[in-house]
Amino acid sequence: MWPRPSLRRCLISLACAAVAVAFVGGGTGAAARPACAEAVLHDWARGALGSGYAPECYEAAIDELPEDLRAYTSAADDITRAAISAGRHANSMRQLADVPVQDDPSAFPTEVVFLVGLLLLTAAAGLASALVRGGREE
Amino acid sequence: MSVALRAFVTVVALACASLALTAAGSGASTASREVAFGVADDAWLTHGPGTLESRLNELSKLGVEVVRYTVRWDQVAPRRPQDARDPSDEAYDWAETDGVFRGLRRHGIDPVVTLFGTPSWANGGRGPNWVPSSSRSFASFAYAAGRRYPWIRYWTIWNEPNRPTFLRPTTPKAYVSTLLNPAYAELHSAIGRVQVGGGVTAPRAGDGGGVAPVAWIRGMSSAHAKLDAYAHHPYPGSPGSETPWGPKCVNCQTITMADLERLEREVRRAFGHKPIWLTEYGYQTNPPDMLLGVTPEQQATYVATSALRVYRSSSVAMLIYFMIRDDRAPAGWQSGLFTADGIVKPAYAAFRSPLVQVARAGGRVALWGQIRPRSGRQPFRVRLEEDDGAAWLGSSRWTDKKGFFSITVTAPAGAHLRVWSPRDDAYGHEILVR
Repeated sequence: MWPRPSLRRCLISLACAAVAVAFVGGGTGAAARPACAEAVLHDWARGALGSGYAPECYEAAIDELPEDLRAYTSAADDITRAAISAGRHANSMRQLADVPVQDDPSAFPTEVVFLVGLLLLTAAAGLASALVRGGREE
Repeated sequence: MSVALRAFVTVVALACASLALTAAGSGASTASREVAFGVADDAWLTHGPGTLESRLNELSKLGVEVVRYTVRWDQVAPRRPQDARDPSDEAYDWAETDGVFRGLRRHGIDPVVTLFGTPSWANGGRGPNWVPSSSRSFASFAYAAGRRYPWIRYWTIWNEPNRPTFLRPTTPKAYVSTLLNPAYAELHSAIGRVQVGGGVTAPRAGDGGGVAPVAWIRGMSSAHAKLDAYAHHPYPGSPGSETPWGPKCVNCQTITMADLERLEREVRRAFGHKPIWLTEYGYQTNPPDMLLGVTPEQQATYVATSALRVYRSSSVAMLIYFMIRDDRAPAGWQSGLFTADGIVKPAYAAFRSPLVQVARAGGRVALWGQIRPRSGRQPFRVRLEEDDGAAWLGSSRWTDKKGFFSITVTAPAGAHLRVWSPRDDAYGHEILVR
């Protein structure tokens, strides 16, 4: 059975939205790839290639290397090295992200506060008990 | 520190600086290095603007001593010859090469011939980058070429065989056994005082099955290569950040000009004390090459400093710059002395009269350079260029018999200097004293 008109309209709208999102997403990816690859190549040409790009940018740059650069220069090796370095950087950032988030390191640890409080309470109780005992003896 | 001690230290320091400058700038009267400078640009030489004679005149004006030129086996012999060792066999067409070589000879320029390109009849219908099926076919062609041009001394076998673009299979063994050794023997049999260069390697393996030059040299040695010189193309690996002097690539298999010592070491280990021919070299310019190009001024500087680099090497016997005029297509090569539209780049003057600052101590500057056109000792002067005019630094001086000079002048840091050749009525490129 074909769905009711309202539900059908709703499903069609959803499908259209999904297609639009996929299209826009795909389009953005395709457009961004050569742009960042080109930036990688230009940084290499200036002798200033760092590891700040996404790994896909390095891969795309290597894929798009012109023949003379591929054959006669160290561009492929240099970009591969930068990509590895970028990968390492990303991994270390990921590992850092996996570590539980700590509280403000400058704050005093709660465990110590609790223990000190407990100690003070015990001391106060001991003092009170001693005072009561002393009053009775008088 | 006492006044006397301070004075003593100052005197010693000045004496050391003076000695260093004297050592750096005293070469004009010393024995000249036998290194030849040249160019390679087959397309320009054969089909460039003007007539062949006008182009040869341009080379003479530049002071070019050697020109590398490729003789394409597949073009000279598009059909299988009846007698492959006979240069007058009807299958051979030497018309184009005859004209170029005759012209070079007339102008006193030594050709460096590169034999390259297998005809399809010699390798089972494959492309020109495939080895011939029989080593005898290439050997016979080399003999015929040698008989055709017996006055040509310098020959190289193939072009960048360490890259599959130029040779398949890309192995030193295939290169040595089917191309180099057979051609070496036949050229020596055809010409009395011939020198055959082997290797002719690209600076790196590239991708897609290439072999790095260090491995290639070792492989050629294992294959018992016969050669009189080792030829190589030390193009920079990172033109934006690499000068002819460095940075050096430690433990690399590649060989650029910055790693010239590695080439010398590997060649000496593999073949003994053979001369090194750098048969292609250059920096492309931006514009138009935005990725591989340096500025035209940097190109001029590198043309001059690479000349000093090889002059100081004990084994490099020739340095050939590629090319004369830029390719028009952006995907082509742009390391010319002229732009694609024929406009002169600063590298033109740097090629004709290179000038390099070697050292500086205070206001004393040691310079090295060469006046290339003509042979024999040449007069020259050095000029200080200032915003409000120019001044000659000293009187006229003379180069050594090969045109080289090493002098010391007085000029402050930041000064702009040029060398002037009165016989050419021409200036070299401008350098900045650092």
